[in-house]
Amino acid sequence: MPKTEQKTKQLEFKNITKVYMPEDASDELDMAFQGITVLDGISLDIYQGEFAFLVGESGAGKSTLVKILIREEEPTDGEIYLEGESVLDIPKEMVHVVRRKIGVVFQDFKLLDSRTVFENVAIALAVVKAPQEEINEIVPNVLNMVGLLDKKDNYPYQLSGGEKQRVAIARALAHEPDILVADEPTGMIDPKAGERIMEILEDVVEYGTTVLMTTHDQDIVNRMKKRVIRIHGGKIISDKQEGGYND
Amino acid sequence: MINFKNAYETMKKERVLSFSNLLVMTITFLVLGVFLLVVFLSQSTLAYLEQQTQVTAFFRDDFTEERILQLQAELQADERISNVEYISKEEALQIFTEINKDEPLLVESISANILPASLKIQTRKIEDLKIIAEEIAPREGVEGVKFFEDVVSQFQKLANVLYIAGFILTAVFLFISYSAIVITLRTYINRKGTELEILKLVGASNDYVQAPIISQGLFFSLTSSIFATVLLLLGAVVATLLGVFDSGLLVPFTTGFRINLIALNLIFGIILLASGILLGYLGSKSTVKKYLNY
Repeated sequence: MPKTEQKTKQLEFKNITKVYMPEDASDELDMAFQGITVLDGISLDIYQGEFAFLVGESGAGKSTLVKILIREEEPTDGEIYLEGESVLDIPKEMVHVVRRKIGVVFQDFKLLDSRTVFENVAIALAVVKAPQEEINEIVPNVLNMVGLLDKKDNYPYQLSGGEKQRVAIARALAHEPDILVADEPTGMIDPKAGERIMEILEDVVEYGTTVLMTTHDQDIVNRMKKRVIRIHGGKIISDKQEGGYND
Repeated sequence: MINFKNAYETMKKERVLSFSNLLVMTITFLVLGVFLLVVFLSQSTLAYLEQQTQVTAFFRDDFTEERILQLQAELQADERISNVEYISKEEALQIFTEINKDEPLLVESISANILPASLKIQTRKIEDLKIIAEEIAPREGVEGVKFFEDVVSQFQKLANVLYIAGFILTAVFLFISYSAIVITLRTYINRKGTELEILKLVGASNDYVQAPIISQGLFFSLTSSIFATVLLLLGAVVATLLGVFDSGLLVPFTTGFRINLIALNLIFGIILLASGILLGYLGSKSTVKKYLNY
C-alpha cells in the first residue's frame, strides 16, 4: 500500500462486492453476466488531491465501481465513505446529494444535444438552484479552463469528440466537486485530443481536486507516472505510486 | 415547482406533437363534457316525466267538496305523497274546454255536472304510485282511480338503466382521459429520456427532474380542459339563443329546482377543469415515476 500518511483519506471503498444475478439484469449485456462476480471485495482508499488511475482489461469491473460510487448501481456488499460519510446509506431519493459532491466524466460525454455548450455546463449549477449571476460568472471560468470559451454558443453536434469531452469536464467541475471521477474519458476520442484531456485533468489536480480515472489506455498511464491501481477478475492485484500500466 | 411558462416554451419547440396531443385530449374532455350533459339531460327528462305521472282519483257526485278536501289534507300528510291537487267539477270543465277547443260541438254538449271532481296525487317515488292507487280505490266516495301502470314501470326501468349506464360510461371516459394524458407524457418522456438521465447523473433532485414533466402534463390537461369548457359554453350560449330549454332544466333528485343551460355547462366546465388538474397530476406523476427508480 502507498505511503500517504501526510494526506487525508477522501474516498474509501470497503470490501465492495458486486455479483450480477438475474434480477439485477437490466439489458441483454447484463443477462450475459448472470451470477457473475464482477467486483470481489474491493477495498481501496483515495487521498485528497491525488491523481489515481484505475486500470484493467475490459470487463475488469472499473466502470462498475464508478457506477456504484455514484449510486447508479447498488453493490451486493460493502461500504463506501466519501469524506467520512457513508455514500450507500443515503436514501435513494437523496442520491443527488452524493452526485453533487462527485464530478463525473463519462466515456460517451453525456451532453444535452438540444443545449449549447454554455447551457450544458450551466445545468450542473442550475440543478442546485444557483442564481443566474453566479452561473454567468462560473461557467465562463470553467470553459476558459478547458479552452472552450470561444465555443460557448455552439451545440454539441458542432464539436469534435475531444471538445465534447472538455465540455463534460467543465460541467463536472462547475459545482466544485470534492472529487472528479473520469470513466474512460479518452475512450472515444483520438490520441491527440486524449493528450489535451489529460493536460486538463492534471491542471484539475493542481487546483486541489482529487482525480480518479479509469482507463485501459496503456500509453496514457505509462506517460503520466501517477498512482496506478490495477483490477483483474474483480480484485485489486496491484496498487503502486508512479506506476506503469503493467506493473 | 410547477412552471407553465417552460411547459409552454417546450410545447412551442415541438409544435406538431404538442398540437396533436392537445387535440386528442381536448376531444376527450369535450366528449366527457358532452356525455355528462347527455346523462344530466336524460335524468332531468326522467325527473320531469316522473313529476307528470300521477294517480287520479275520481269522486262520486254525492261526495261533497268538503269531504274531498278533508281527504286531500289527509293524503297531503302522507310522507309518500309530494302533492295533492283538487280539481273541482268547474275546473274540470275548464280543462276539458281547453283541451277540446277545436271541437266546439263536443264542448257544447258537456256541462260541469257530467264531469267528476278529482284529486291528482303525485308521489315522491314512482314505485309508490300503484300502492297509493290501491289504497285510495276502496275509500268512501271514490268512484274510480286511474294511473298509467305500464308507463310508470317502463320509466322506472329506463331510469335504472340510465343511472347505471351513466356511472359506468362516465368512469370509462375518465379512464380514457387519464390514458390519453399518460400516453402523451410517455411520448414526451421517451423523447426526453436521455436528457432526464443526464440531469440525474449531474445531481438533479427528483423534484427537479419531475417538475417539468408534471408541469407539461398539467399544462396539456388544463389547456385541453379549458378548450373543452369553452366549446361547451359556446354550445350552451347558442342553444339558449335558439330558445332550447329556455325554461331551464329540471335538476334530478330535487323538488322542482331548475337550472339554466349556461349555468349547467359552467358547472360541467368546472368539473372538467378539476378533472384536468387531477388527471394531469396523477398521469404525469405515474409516468415520471419510472425515471426516478435508480
